Order: sequence, then C-alpha cells, then structure tokens
Amino acid sequence: MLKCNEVAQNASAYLDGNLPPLSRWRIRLHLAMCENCRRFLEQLRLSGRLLRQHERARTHASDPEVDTLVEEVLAAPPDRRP
Amino acid sequence: MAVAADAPEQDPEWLGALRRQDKAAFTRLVRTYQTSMVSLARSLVGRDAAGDVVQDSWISAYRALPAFEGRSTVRTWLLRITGNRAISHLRAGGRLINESDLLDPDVAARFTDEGRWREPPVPWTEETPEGLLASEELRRALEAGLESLPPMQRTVLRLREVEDLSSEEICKILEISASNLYVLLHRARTRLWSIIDAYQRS
Repeated sequence: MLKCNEVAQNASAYLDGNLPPLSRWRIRLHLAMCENCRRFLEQLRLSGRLLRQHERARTHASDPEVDTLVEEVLAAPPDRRP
Repeated sequence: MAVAADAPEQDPEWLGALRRQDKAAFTRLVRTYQTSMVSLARSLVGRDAAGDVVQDSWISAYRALPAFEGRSTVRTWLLRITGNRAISHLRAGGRLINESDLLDPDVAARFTDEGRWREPPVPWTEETPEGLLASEELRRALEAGLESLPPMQRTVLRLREVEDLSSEEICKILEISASNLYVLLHRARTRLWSIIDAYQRS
C-alpha cells in the first residue's frame, strides 16, 4: 500500500496521465480508501485551473507597442549580437 | 497541443511571406506571439530584463525566418528562442537553481515521518476557479506566491497551465530533461496548492 506522501509526490504525474499502469493502479487503490489524498488531488487540479483562469484574464500587447517593436527589430544593426 | 486559430501553420501565404521577411507578415507575427514571449521572459528574468530579452529574441527570429524549417510550430520555435535567451541571462546572473525535493517544503511538512498526513487538506469554501478568484485577497496572495517561486519553477508552471504546452515542448524550450521538468512542475504545483490552502485556512 502506498503512503500518503508517496501519493502526493506522484500526484502531478498521475493527473497528467504520465504514470505506468501499475503505479496508476496503486494510486487509484490508495485514493479509493483515503479521503485526504482524494481531496489533495482534486485541489491540486483545481489550483492549475485557477492559475490558468487568472493569467488568461491579462491583457494583450497593444498595436502601438507592436509597431514600435517591429520598427526597432528591423532597424537593429546587423552587428548587434542578438 | 492544439494549434491556435491564428497560427502561420494554418496559413501557407503568411508562412511564405514570413520566410521572405515581409514586414506586414512579421508585424502580424509579433502581434500574435508577443504576449506569450513577454510572459515567458518575465517569468524567467523578471519584469525589468524581460523587454531586452524579448527584443533580442525578435531580432534573432527575424534573421532566422528565411531558414525556418517548420520542424516545430512557429510558437514553439519562438518560445525556444526566447527561453534560450532568458536562460543565458539567468546563467550570467548565477540565478539558475537546482531543485531536488519533489514537494514544496511547506507541503512536505504536512506529512509525518511515516508518510501520513499530519495536517490533512481542509475542504475549500469554493470549488471552481471563478469562485476562488472572486476574492481580491486570494488574487493578491497568488500574485505574491508566483513572484516568490524560483524562476524555472514559475516558468514550467506557466508553460504547462497557462500556455498549455506538452512536456516535450517545454523540455525543448527550456532545454531540460523530462525528470527535471517533473520536479520543477510538481514543486511549483504543490506550492500553488499550499498558497491557496493557507488562504483557505486563515
């Protein structure tokens, strides 16, 4: 039987579907019996969705910003070490 | 990873014009990917240095456009150029940190020596991202928490959760191994959880 901290250490691989079948099965078995770890995994997944939602609400580059940048890139001297 | 609706891969004319270094095509490219590149650079080198890193990356990209072979998506190619440049900057400053433990220290401390939960997770008051983000206080804690993460952890977290890139693409962009990526990503995710959990418990 896996310990709770072992489940926690492998939680990302489990959530991303990157575990071999046997490890996956051992985590499932643990989760079936351990409410704490079930909650931890659900909250870990929710944390990722929350970050996505939060960051995607940010604004995009404005047109003047883009135009200035393009002018600067095109005007960069050839000897500038990019 | 799904190709974004407005990607040069979907538009052969645009891709052709890019290879000829056409100015309008290049402007459209900058408009499309500037936000992702700035986010990546900021995440690695911070706000102040990000502007230079991104501009240098665009100069490299512009010069390399005629030779673009299409072996990856344009977005991955651009992010890889940006990642290389930002990491060189980090290395120059000696700020690249090696991670060894899989769990964030605050999370690791929640377990007993026998590996059982010492302080188990508590139920959260909200069960959706929208519900949780309604709190200004949590949004501030989240921002501060992200700022406090080591640059590589913060960056893999963003590339995975926000940019939705595959592990393979992230490894290419940051030139790290798959096992390195796992440690960085999992540490960062458990840190993020710990920030929200601390807020919920307070």
